[in-house]
Amino acid sequence: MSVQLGKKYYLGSRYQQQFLEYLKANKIAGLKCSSCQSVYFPPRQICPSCRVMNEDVQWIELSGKGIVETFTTIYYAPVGFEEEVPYTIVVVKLSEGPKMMCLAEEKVDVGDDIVLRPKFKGNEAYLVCEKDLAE
Amino acid sequence: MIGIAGVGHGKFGKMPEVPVQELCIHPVLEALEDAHLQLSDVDALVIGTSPEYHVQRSIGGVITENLGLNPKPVFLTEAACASGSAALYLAAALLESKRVDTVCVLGIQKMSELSTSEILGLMGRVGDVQWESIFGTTFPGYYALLARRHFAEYGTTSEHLAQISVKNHHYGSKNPKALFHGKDDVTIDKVMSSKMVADPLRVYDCCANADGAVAVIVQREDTMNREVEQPIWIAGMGMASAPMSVLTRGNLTEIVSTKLAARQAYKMANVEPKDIDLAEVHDCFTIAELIAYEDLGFCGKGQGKLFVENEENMIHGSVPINVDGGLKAKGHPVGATGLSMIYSVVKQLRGEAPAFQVSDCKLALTHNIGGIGQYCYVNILTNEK
Repeated sequence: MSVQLGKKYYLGSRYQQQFLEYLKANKIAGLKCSSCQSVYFPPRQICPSCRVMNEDVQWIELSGKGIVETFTTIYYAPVGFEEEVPYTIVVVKLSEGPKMMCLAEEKVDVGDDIVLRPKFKGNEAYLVCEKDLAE
Repeated sequence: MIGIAGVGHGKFGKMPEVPVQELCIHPVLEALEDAHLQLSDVDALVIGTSPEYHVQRSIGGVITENLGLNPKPVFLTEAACASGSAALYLAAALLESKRVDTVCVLGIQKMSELSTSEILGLMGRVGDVQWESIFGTTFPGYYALLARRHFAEYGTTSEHLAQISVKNHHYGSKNPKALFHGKDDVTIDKVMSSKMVADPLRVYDCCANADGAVAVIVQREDTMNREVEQPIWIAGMGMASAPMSVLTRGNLTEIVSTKLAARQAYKMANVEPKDIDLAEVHDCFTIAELIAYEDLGFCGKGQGKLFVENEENMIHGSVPINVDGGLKAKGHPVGATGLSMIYSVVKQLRGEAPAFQVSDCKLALTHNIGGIGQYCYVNILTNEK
């Protein structure tokens, strides 16, 4: 069975597949506009900063380092996630600027320094955050 | 100027035995009677609804048929929880174009047609499905993300949110159209001890689903029915959109579309936040109401908690908020909610509120959010031209 990003609502779109390839290589990736060079996420063909059309979006590897902007623990899950509750969803602001959503496997708080890493559960790929102990 | 000639509001609640095309009939007839008009006077129908909740596809067909409105034109607008306000916005534009003289605006939603699991399935797809829903986000979960950030930056607490819930249930208990009419039993303790839905939001921080329909008859100043004793005028209208993905938003303690829509509406009406006598704001979750105080300019950024502590949001405060019970106590039939707000402020501006009449009410505001702020509509209504 091929790997999918998250569960239930995975579309298998081209950009999801490209992002997955980075996760499989243990890397976190974002996008870089070919015109204004701004770094962004999620993938958008029209650059969110300068509105130039990028026919082929340009992926770049990111550090995965960032801080917890906010988080919530979900107790009432949508269909497909019932077995997971309670689970914690985190919005991370990465050091390069863009934000990503990930799951937390340990207690987090707003402002925590974290690092993102890929996590595979069966055929499902996730992003999880861990406390950044590098410094 | 665009004016409201009549309003009609069905009781909100669970009505599985009434199909969508029948749910609209009483509110439409009530609004027409209120406007001293007949069905034959309606030039066009604009419906605000979120179609994915209905088993019947393309409800404009069954609704016009059941109202006996064929062959009049019908349009359907979708802006999630702001669909009713979107319909009013388009109705105003139709009137301003002078293509039509009288428009019936209908906000309607049957939410009891789907099973709980189907509703939960829809709930999982309110965000960007490609990059967010795949991790199990929920509608309350998104507002919980805003709440957690607001708590961290401004010291807002769950107690502040609980006070909003208690206030809205208290006022809603006297609103005969509300789902929780007659139930003035919500206390701080009851809110704080209710089950956690998405931390820090609990069951009593969340509004309830309901079926419901509200109709509003709108006309231009030059076509306003002269038999209408007190037309209510739309002095200002604003609408703004914002990104679907919360990841691309800068500040997660505000709803940017509210600020932009409000700015347009205040400018058009040539008024300031301090001039507003009453506001109906979008309290799908208690944190949404608190953030709206700030985004609408009723208090400064981060001061929402003081607005609550000082009871500025109560009927005796500087801007009474949701004195009809809000979404919290009325229930939230997605497409009907925006027009339910209009109904309440029209009654207040006419001095006909069923309870909690705001004294000397001349200028009222409605604030209706779609989704997690992807859409926002702000209207400013007045009883003086």
